[in-house]
Amino acid sequence: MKVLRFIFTALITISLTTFLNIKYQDIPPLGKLLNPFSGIWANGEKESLSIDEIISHPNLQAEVDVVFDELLIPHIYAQNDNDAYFVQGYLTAYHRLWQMEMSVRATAGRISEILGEGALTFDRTQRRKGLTFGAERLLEEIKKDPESMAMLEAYTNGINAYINSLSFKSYPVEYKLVNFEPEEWTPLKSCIMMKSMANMLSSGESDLENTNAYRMLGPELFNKLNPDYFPGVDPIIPVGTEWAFQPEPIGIPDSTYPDITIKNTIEKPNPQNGSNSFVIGPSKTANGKVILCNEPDLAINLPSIWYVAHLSSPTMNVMGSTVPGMPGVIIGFNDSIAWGNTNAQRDLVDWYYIEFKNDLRDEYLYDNKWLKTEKRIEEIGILGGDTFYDTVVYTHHGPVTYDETFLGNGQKVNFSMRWTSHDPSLEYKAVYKVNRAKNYDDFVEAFTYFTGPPQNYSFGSVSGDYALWIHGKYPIKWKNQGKFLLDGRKRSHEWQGFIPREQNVHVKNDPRGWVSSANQHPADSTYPYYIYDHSFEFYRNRRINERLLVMNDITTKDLMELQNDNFNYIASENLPMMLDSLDSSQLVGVKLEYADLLKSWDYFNNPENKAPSIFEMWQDFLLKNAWDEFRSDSLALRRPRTYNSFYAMQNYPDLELFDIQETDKVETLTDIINLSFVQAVDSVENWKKETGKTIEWYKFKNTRAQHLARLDPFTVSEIKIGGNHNIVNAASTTHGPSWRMVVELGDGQVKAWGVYPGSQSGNPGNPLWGHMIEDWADGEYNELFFGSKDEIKIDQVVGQVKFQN
Amino acid sequence: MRLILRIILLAGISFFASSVMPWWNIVLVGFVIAALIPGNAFGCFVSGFLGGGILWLGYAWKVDTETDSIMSTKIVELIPMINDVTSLLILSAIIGGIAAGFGMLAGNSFRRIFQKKKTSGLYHS
Repeated sequence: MKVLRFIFTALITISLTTFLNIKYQDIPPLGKLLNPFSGIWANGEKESLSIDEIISHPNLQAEVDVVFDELLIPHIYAQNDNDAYFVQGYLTAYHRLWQMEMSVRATAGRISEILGEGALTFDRTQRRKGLTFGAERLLEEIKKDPESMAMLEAYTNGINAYINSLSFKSYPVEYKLVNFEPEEWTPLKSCIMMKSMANMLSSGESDLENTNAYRMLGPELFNKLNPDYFPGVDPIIPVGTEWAFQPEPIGIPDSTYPDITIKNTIEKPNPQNGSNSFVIGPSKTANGKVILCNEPDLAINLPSIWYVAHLSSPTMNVMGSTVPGMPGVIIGFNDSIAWGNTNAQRDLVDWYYIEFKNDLRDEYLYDNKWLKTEKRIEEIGILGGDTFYDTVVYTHHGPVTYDETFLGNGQKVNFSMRWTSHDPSLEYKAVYKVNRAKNYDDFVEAFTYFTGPPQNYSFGSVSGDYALWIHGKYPIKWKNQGKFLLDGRKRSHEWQGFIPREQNVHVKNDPRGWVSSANQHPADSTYPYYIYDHSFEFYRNRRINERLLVMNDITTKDLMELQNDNFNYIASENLPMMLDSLDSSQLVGVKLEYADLLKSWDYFNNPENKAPSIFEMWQDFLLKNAWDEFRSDSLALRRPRTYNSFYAMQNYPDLELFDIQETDKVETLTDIINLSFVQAVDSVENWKKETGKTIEWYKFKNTRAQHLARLDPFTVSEIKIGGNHNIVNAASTTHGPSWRMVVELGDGQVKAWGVYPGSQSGNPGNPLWGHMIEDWADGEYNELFFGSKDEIKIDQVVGQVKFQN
Repeated sequence: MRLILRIILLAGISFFASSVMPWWNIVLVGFVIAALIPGNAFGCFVSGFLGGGILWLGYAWKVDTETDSIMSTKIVELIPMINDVTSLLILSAIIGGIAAGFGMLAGNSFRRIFQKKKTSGLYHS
């Protein structure tokens, strides 16, 4: 009896303890989570910095001094490169470990392991895009290059030293909430991070949607809506630049494309990713120095995509934004030069139709021969479920992403992905070299190692040079090659080679006095190679160049203002046409009021303005109504881009497509402009009723810095910032200037300012969590300390750490 | 008195044990204390509940005050039915209390296996 009673109470106690210690369905491990010693209570920080003053590790070769300034930027003073990268890894992990792990998991398709079956399609997409496959090939090349490999290994050791110092108590809070443990870092993971960049910036395309649209619209209408160039395009390299080289020859084959349609395509990178960069030469600046400005417009997340650091060793003294998970500085400056980048997207992914010999998918047809496939079995662990095995077939083109098991309709749809990011490459060598570049020649040489994601790299130096080079690997294409699905059975449909690096678009010390890039066309149509992308920018670039043309005696402050410019080019070009078509005589009440508001608007998307809210809604409805034909359940389609759409409205107002299909009436452009206005006003009024808010642009737009796991209390919402996509200040709802940097170079000196929407600390329980967001929204910058450890003022120091063997 | 002794011992030992052991040390410590110090089942559960609850409440309150509720105000938004930091403190205390209470209860019943049936009230406090 007594024994039974003991067994009974013991069983209850053990079950209860277990229940409180593990995640059961949706109930988190409450004991583990809520105990005050090591649970979430332990994640609140008293001070903005709580790190040991002395950290010892056998991988360190000498003492390293680290000073954290008031922005929590670590200034790392090492006596050799190994120690510099070790400490960079350690401190990045100290601030951003969970983010680093999640970025790798997301890229490698390993989210189901921690979240369960809901993420399986996402994971399969990442695996089928061959992101880890590409990372492995990158690592193979790095292993052959001792310098780069040493950098990657030291960084990895630093991260792991930090991970190994942790106990449950010191895990970032997200590990506790989601209930998983930090995993060891590897050099491969840093390579996966590079592919995460490539995925975000160079995997965008609409080839299959184009194939469908070409079939639906016919060649004439398709080309009318999607021309490769428009009159008045303002390319990166000034119009009229001469190309002093002999281009590689290219054969143009018969171009009969496979006529296969597809219902759904894989998730694409956000089209709002984009960036601005401009460098002003000595002739246009007030003090005769060079000023380099850059802001990558990416997802605004918390923790932020960037982590600022200063690395100093006998071989380098470099500072700028780093990517957690990647060694070295990605965008920044050193004693001699500064560099920045914007994405130089072109169609770098092409899809090839594959004909397999039979269901075994062991052989495929190529040039009348059967070639062997390779198979990669992807094991996808699933929390609370059985491991999912996904066999991905590889041809010599690349992974067969679409097939009978994935988005294919039966045997017919087997599409193999040809992507430059699957090719062997050595990007980390470029990072290593540019961090140490002394001048223009070093800068150019460094990026010859850079395959992708290709970037418009801007450059400025203390010696007064300023330049722009598009660095990356671009296939040589015949006209329209890869705009549509290609035939994987024909050798003639393959890429015939790559643009020689020295023939990539570039300009040095342009007589205009500045260089700039904003994701627009790289060059005018005289560039000897065919250039196509589905999504070039048409607005930010023109605003920037028009402003720079009239600006003189330019100061850093002027350029900060330009980075925060809210001029809505789309509205300035198209609102007059829209208002002209609006039948004002029929408008009463709030509709009349809003129309008047728009008529008196100066086209600036300033945060307090109300007109932008109405305009943006009107534009949304107008494009939706104009292109209703592109909303289809049976066919993957993508409606024409904004610029193409307005170009069509301005130039072909009688286009039949403007009719709304589902109504009996035949709508004209004027009809849909009027209809869209009514819909926009109704929708704005509904929003006001639902939220009880007024329609100042920043409230209506609701720019937010979203926590990576989309946890609301860790997200900062309704940030008071203007702008929008296609505006220089590109802050849209979830995307925007993720790092604004201004660097002034001259007289042997480098001065820099920077700000980003977030904080160095990735801990939501840190007093400085998201502290730079307000400055960022207001267009304020922090002057960045870039001196030796003896030069920093005591009141700027938040903490010091000594690393030692 | 034994009730108070158990409470003090539990809170004191678990406080130190928590710096080296996971949270469930409070169950073990409760078990050991109840196995060593005689008492009835109800008294043991109550002393576990109070000892564990007070320790977790007190320490959570200390940590929270020191950090200006920086984490707890965010966490309360993630937990359904918990709307403020006070409720989160109480919830933590209840969890610590129940865990320790059951630990003591099990410890007490363990002790009773070896306890001979005696008519005297020696073991009844």
